[in-house]
Amino acid sequence: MKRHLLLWACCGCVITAASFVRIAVAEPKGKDSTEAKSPKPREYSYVYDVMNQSVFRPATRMFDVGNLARRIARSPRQAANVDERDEVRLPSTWWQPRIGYQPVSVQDMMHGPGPGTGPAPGPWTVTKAKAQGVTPGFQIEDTKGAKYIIKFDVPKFPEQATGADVIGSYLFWAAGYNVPENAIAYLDRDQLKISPKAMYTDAKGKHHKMTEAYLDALLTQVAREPDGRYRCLASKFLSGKPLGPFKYNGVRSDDPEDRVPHELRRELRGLWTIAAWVNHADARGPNSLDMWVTDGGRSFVRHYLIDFGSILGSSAITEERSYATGEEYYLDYNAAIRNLVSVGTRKAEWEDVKDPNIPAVGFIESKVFDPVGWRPDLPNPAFDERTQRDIRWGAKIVAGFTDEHIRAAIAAAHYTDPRATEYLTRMLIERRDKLVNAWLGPPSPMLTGAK
Amino acid sequence: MRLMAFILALALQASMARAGESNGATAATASRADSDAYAVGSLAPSTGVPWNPPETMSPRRGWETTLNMPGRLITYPLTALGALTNAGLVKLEDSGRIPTSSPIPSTFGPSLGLSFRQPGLGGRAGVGAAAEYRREVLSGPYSTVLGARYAGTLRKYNGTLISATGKPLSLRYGYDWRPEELFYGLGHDSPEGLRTNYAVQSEYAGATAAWESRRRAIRGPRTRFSTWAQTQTDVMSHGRGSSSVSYEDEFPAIGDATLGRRVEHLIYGAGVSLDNRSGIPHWTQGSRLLLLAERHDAPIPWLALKDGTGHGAQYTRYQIEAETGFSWRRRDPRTLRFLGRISDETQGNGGDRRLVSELSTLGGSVGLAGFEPGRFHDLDAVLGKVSYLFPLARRLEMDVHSEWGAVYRNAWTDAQFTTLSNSFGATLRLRYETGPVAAIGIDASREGVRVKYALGGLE
Repeated sequence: MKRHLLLWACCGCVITAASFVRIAVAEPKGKDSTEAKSPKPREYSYVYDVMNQSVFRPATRMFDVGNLARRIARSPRQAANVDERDEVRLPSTWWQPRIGYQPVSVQDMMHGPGPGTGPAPGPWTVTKAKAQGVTPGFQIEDTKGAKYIIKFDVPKFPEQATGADVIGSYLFWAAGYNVPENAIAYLDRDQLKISPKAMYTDAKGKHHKMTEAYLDALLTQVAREPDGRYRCLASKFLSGKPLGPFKYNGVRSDDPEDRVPHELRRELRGLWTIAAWVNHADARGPNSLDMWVTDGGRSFVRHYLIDFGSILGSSAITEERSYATGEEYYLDYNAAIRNLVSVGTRKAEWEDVKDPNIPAVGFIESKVFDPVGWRPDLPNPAFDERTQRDIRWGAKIVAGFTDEHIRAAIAAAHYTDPRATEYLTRMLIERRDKLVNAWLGPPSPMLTGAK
Repeated sequence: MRLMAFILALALQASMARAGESNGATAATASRADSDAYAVGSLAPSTGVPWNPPETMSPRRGWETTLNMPGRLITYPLTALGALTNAGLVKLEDSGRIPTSSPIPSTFGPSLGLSFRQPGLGGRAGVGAAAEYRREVLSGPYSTVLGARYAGTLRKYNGTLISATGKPLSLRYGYDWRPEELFYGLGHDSPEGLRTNYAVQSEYAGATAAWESRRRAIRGPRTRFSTWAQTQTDVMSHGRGSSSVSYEDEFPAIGDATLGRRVEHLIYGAGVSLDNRSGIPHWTQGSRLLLLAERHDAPIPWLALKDGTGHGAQYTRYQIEAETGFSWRRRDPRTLRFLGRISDETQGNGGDRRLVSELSTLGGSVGLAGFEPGRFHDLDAVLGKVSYLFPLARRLEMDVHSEWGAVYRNAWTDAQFTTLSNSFGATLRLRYETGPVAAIGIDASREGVRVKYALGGLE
């Protein structure tokens, strides 16, 4: 027995010694010129992401002995790219200090992602069917040659997804993240012209030339204004070369400037707080985009958050979002066990929440909102590793949003129903206050158990 | 003791690592002054060379990597499998076969072309697949889709179907081979020990005319009236299954009357279905009623697929099926459902030549799921089912159910509650906002436990 104990102790010492090998910090080796080589574009399956984040990764995590040891010792691994003040080391291609770190006026925020004017007046040339995302849409080129992705609302929820997408772009830009320029636009059917090269893919994978009949049929599926026009979201193409989505864990191995595993990045771990605030339950890899840009005399990968059509409880499909959004994962094993044991008699808190019943507003509320235990639709690798320090970092940003910032962002959604504007404003203010009180206020019993 | 020592060692590593990390952070900052970057400055995205450690960091400390090494080695093949799965799914998504974008208008993307599906040859057929090709040959008000389908399973079941589906008329020609269907004898008290099997070959050609009150989007009120006529020929033969004897060995009288004998029928009938069930993610309220009458008559020689001389039993089958349900908790409904079904066959002429495959049956997916498919055979069958569906998670729900049923020579005179057999089970269903998409479950009866699964077509 003694021999075994000695062996374990020796193993422990060796491993401990290994863990003390410090990472010496030096100037990065990233190429400082436009000659840097672009990483290869990569794709990540929507379906595989759901399976991986819901089943495979949680199972792997369950058997992660190192993680188990850290949990027993209450010693989570802290973010790796922070300084002695616990702040993100800069420069960063992921995040830029804005609200919470320096004065950002409402005007700054409203011009941050871009002018927000949308496509130029005149005919829009449809160049391609929209390939991904649940909302109906297509790609266009305006009279000035600017390219946009056009997305619509479903008839059951007019203004909902388009409004959320615009609001999200302003709020996440102000929070420091890179986002596309989104704007609400209106189009007449006559305004659309089809490029001779425009194609769409049918359900069997066959490519077809786009026709007027196709566009007509597509537009029957989207919400229409009383005056016959179509309200849409115009999301301007990001400049540079798209490299596909980033993952919330690991690194992009062919990017020499990506050396911190994403789950150890403060910007991504702390994103949890901002996502919780606006109920961005769809914060996952496929809703991100890496771009190879040439800016400031060099070429590099810039990381963007895209597609905010599902924030604020918005539903981009024909059925409303589950009221459990933000409370439970799609496959929430804890909830499943509780429900199984109670044979369905257990009533979750969210089942009693009052719905505002405003078509333009999705399901978002502030009473049941849990500022400590908020959960996205799918477990997110960076969120899973978040610690109190990461959440407080995000809370500091959320606290920086004034009521005026919130009102201005929501006004950009151009809701026709004033109840929608009023309700969303109130919800974001109340949720902000709840988050800030929980994480930046006096010590709260709510935080007991949080890492 | 050993376990305790191991856990203590792990905790020691973890807590020492914490100290190491904070020290490391302090040391790391000495070489770089980030404070300038936080001075009031540009709000635009940075173009500077980002901060990075000299080498790519490992997501784990050395001791964590060491501890996880055994598990990592074991899961390497799974990682490779995951990468392959991802690559395959990316291709399918890019090609549009797995939709990740908004649905393309139905007139531009109907389920045409080649597709692969479940075999749909019944619960006894085993693991298999079906390949189907559909092509639209007429559009507009006379829209007609030509289809060809072949299904096969590891148990050597197969089915071929060629169809022309239009509105209101559809035509079909098909051929099925079912080599090891189970038969335990007639009547509900047939013992489990008399398990036999038989093979049956069917060939048919027919037409159906159907009228629907309206197409349903996801689920909604619908009334459907249909009438059909079909000429069919069946031959029962020696069972090919190896786990039990062929039916003529245990039941020589039935074997003498049916083995190798070609039976031809002209089948015609009509049915009406009233369905006003509604709700998501499963149907939560409303009811459904199905009334069906089908005559298996003597063949008309010029319509017969063979020589038209092999007359089988002439009989009429009536079926009544009613289903209703209600739910509570609107946000995530809990639903109680009730189903009742009576299947009644007249004795008719030539009853001695009645094929086993023509009898009413229970067991497997047609009712009493805890029993083997084909466990009970007789002229009539009675079935009742109660189900309780409740949510487990946003994408999961549970269906616990119990079935009672029996087969009778005459259900109207013989049926008694005490003679019913019971089966009960639970099914885990994967669901989307609009409905369940896949299921796996178990059903148990006094004779054993059966596993069932389904992909699509659940409600």
